[in-house]
Amino acid sequence: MLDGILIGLETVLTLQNLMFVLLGCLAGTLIGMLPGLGPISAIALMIPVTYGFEPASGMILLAGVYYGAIFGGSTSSILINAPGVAGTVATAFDGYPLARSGQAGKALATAAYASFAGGTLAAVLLVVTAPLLADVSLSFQSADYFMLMVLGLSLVSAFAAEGEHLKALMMTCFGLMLSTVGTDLSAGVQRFTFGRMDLIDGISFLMLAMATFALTEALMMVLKPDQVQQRQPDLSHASLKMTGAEIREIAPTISRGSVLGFFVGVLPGAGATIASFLAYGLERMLAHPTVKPLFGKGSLRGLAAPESANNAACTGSFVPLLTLGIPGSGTTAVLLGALIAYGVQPGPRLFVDEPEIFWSVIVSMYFGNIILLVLNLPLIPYIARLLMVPRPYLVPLIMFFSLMGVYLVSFNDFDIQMMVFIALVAVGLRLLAFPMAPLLLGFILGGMLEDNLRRAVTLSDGSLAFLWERPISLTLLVLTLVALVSPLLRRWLSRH
Amino acid sequence: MSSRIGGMMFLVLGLTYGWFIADIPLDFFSEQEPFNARSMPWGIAAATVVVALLLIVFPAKQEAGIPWKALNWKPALLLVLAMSGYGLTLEYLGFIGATALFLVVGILILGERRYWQIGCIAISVAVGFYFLMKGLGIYLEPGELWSALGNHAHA
Amino acid sequence: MTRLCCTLLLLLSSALPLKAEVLPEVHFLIPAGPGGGWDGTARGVGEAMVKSHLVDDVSFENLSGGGGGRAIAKLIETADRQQYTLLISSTPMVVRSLQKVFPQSFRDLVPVATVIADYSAFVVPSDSPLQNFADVVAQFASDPRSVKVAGGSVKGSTDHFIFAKAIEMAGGDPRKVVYIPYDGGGKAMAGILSGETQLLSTGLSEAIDMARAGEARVIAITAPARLPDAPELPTLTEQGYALEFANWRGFFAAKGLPAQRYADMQETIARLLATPEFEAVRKRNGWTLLHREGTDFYQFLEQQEQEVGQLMRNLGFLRP
Repeated sequence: MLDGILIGLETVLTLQNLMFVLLGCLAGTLIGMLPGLGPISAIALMIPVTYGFEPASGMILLAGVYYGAIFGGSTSSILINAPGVAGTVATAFDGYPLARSGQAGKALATAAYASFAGGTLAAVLLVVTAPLLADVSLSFQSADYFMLMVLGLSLVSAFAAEGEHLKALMMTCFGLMLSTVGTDLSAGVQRFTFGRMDLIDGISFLMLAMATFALTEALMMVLKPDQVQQRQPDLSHASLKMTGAEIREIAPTISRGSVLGFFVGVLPGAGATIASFLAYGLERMLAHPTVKPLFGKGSLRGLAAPESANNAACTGSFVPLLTLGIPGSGTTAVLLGALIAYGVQPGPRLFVDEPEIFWSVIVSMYFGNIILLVLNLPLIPYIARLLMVPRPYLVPLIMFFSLMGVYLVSFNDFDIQMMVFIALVAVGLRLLAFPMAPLLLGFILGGMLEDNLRRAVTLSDGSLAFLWERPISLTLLVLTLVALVSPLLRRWLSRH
Repeated sequence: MSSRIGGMMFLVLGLTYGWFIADIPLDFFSEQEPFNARSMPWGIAAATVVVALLLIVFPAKQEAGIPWKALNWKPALLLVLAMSGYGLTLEYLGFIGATALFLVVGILILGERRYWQIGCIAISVAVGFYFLMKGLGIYLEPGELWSALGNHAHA
Repeated sequence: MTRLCCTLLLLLSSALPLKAEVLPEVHFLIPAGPGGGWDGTARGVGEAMVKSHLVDDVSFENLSGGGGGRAIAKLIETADRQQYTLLISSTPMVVRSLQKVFPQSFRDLVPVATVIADYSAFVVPSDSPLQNFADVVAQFASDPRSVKVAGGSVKGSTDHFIFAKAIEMAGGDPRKVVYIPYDGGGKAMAGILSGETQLLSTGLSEAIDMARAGEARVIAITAPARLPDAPELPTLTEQGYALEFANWRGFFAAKGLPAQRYADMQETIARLLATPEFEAVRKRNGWTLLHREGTDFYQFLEQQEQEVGQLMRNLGFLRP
């Protein structure tokens, strides 16, 4: 392994390859900040640039683009509540309230540190455990994925403010409902499309997030101009420094988020979005009752957890890609295509046949993370200046940005009308104090929950015995019960 | 109060959703399967109705009333219309025209009146974004108006 | 330095008109978002057109929605503005119009030419006892539920019915096939490797990369004969099951254009397929060439529609 790392270092530490890491991170960050262009588009756009490069250099550049795009996505999430990438939706939960309270610089810096730490810790885990993890990623069957989604849903109470649990549950049901619109994977029939061609492909997660977060927030700024008053952002470089207490506060969060994110990322059927939601829910559940109310209102922990988890999950997704040749997400599928176009065959033999590619990708992950941090920290005060734009200009620009973010994925103007409609409904629900995050949780878990359950039931010929017969499912079932019972238990204990 | 209003709305939504489950077609193998395309929607509809009823019966305590009248409804609704109009004009006016128009209208709705500045910002954002996308190899439609004026659609 | 020279040479050569252009421009209409199979094919073909100087001006427009139906509708509605537009499509177009996902069919457009084909492949994990398709048939005959078939797309799609068709040809009951749909070929592959399903039915281009990774084995493909790029893969035909099926990818144009335009489009594509530039793109993506144009393409579509329709009625996906 040590000589592996040395091979990797040797490959990466050429001037040319370091330039590629830099170029990749820069291009990825810039493209990722643009609406509608997430890591998939960013990588797809950069692939033609890399034809003719050495495979290792090409992969180094693309890995940089990948991290950069995710990082760029969290910037728009934090500043204007417009998550440009599905994996950064959970970042908006606490990142945006922080930015609104005048701490945009600190929020962006925390995101940068958490991403850095998440990516780096996950890269270490990858080096230590990659060969073993290939087996782990294949030991999950549909039944286990189903239980993982159930565990995710059981965290819903964590997404609710005190005393609002029923409302959170209500919104989760709404999210589940929306997830059933479109063509049903298991039977190939259309559900709730009302004969409309545009609904056949279902509602996209990004559209729902943009409509319920960015558009709704922009409309709220207009509806309640004094309540959503924004404090002048502190744009000095000094505002980026974290105090010792803050570092002590988020360090355990980041390590939990990274480990959880990495393992969820390793599973081909889960991914960065699920990882960030799980990490956020877990963090909120673990939080001491005195700091819990801060979540959703600008908690540093609430920001650091999903940010470290989504970066770690991206790193984790390289495990099935490199060791098995299995793409777990759209992004890794595009990366797989690039590898094959370079003439590299990922799989168990990659490690043996072309160690310089395997190890240089891993080593470039460390450098990518360092470069991202070095590149972005000094830029933060300038990026945060966006918030100085006067509101009559800012609001229409946010709306344009969000609408484009969805339009550039489908190029279908029906989606714009649908977004406006969803935003209108969401404004109504927000005025009635219904929380939006559980809606997204229900939506993203709902589809996967149903598909996996139906697969599991068909595979077991109609029996539900897999719930207790499969050790992984059983473990997840127990964890779900713990997650459901522990808040009640804690309340009961505090009374007696 | 807000729990009860919301609860009623979701109750109606849950019942409507349940009503439309009957429209989901089932081929004959699915009819025999224990878990088919209608099973999950039934579960969701039932859960929605139950939670909505709970919300009506046990509304959250100490809720602040909603200051409906204090809200700035007019510009917000106008902006909603402007966004919808943006979607409608995108195909006809093309990306640059529709975007610039939307930004101008949006900024005017919010009370800004420096016309020159508004025009410059709207046009530079629209044109800049158009060329950025073109540079990245992403095609945005120039619009029917453009081709109606005798230009080639895909030039 | 050599790279610089090459670039300079390319720049110089592009300034000189080497070959007469038949079409001044081509606009590709892609019925899906960026990053998928249709998108990749259209962009690959467009890239080769530009590099080989067959067409100077190439643009790409993505329009997703309605399983591809929205782009077809647009091409029909705005036919007069689509003078140089080629819409890319593939076998699912035939399947979806049979299922009435969208009201149009290939008859509402003019089929120009197919360029490539992706054959179906049946894949098993490396350590599976199934060695060839006869083993699959035998196991299916003893218990249909013991051969669960994973696929990367919805029930009733090509992945599903190609396997059902093969079982039918071998004398089994296609309705007894247990098909387990996954969200994409990668997840379906993880499904067979985790042991929850026994066989994967998917496109060869997706299967071959995973098979070459060493974890899985291709036991049959639906090509008429062994492929020059992958001669190690056995066909179904040589195993005694005469099933040939090509998932074509090809181009369509709007109706009502000048007759010469269609001829020019066909000529451009025919010439393109012979260029080294296209060959490079084809190789890079692992595509198999399949060139049918004009009436030949039309008849091929009619035949496929008839075959697929028959099978889907047998399977109960279409009411007779």
